[in-house]
Amino acid sequence: MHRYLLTIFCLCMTAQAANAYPPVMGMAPRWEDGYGFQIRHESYGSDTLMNSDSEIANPLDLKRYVHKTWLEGVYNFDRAKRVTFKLPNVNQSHTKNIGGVGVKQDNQGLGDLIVGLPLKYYTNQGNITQNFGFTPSLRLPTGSSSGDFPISDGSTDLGLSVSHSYESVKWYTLVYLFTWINTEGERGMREGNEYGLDLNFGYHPYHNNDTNTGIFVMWDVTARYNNDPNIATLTTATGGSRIQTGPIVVLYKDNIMFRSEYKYPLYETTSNISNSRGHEFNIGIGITF
Amino acid sequence: MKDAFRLSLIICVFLFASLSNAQNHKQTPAANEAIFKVHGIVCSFCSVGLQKKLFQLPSIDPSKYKKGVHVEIEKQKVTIALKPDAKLNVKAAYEAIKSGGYEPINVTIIGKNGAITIYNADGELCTATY
Repeated sequence: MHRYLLTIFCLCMTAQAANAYPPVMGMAPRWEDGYGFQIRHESYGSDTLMNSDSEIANPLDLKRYVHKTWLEGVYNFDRAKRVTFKLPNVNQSHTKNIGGVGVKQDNQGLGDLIVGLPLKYYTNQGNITQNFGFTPSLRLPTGSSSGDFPISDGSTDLGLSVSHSYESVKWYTLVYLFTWINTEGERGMREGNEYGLDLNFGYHPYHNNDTNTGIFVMWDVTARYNNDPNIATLTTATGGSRIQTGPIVVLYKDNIMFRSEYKYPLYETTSNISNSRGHEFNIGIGITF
Repeated sequence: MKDAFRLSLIICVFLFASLSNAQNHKQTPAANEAIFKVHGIVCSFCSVGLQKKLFQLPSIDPSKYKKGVHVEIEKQKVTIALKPDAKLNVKAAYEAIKSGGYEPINVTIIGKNGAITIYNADGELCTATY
């Protein structure tokens, strides 16, 4: 029942529009000719084996762990037009069932480069600022698609997102809706399309005007639906849907921002037998100029 | 993942420790200052953007505040220190605020003798010196 409800929910979302995950600096910089960089580390994976929404026995100790360190950057032509890039260094390992034997495979290297063109419409009224965003993105096949466990499927993919954020001195909300349309790449590999929704609810408990330092706490809800990859796909892509939730803490001083995020797997279903995505952890530090 | 958690914890402790020493000082208007009402300021990055753009004005006195600019986000107030005898170009200051990403509503300029002049959102003089 849950699976059907989630599928309907995801389909409703995708009918409205689409996305491609916002960096720490989705919030900044806003000024003309502003630019910034951030490094973000993302970890997820588990040795829990799932079939649909049920955990099943795992006698071969099948597992999958993925660590990505992203270098991300942004340049603002003005507050309405900006360009972003994101390049991951991927370290992935899994134990796969090959002929009834658990075989460990791993790979490391640069992943696919993502280039985005966020367009935003801002309104500032009193101590409230809000914006509507639309971001077309391209994922270019800069990662290696060779080997038994490639980092990339070697395809050029299109991402689209729409967002709305509302921020006052104390409160923050973000609604972010996206899709990645994945095309066929090298060796016949085709990862399934991805659809998602991020909701952030934030509170700003402390800010010091003299030192320009402060704390920002948020609660995140992440919903994802992935179409099945085709049988030729050897990357970490899997089909299924999930809802994750957890806290985000942001600390900032002047032009430096540190962000830490934990995602608890609230609901997950896989379309085939597959490892759970497990608990997810993100930390990032960014600087703007 | 454990390493990432530890690193995160260390950074949190370090930043919280530096925050605990901070104090919010109330700003009282002083001579040779201009106080802008600006809409949309909500966070530290807003302050950085305004500081970066306003600092380029030739009339700014960078020896006061941080690069001559102090932002109070709760009050939507931006104070800039002016060099003695410098005349603020209000339209240029408004352009600087807009290019920082925000909306100037008005500005109150306090001269060296305490004389006050107020300009509206269009940069027009609306209250003469008193």
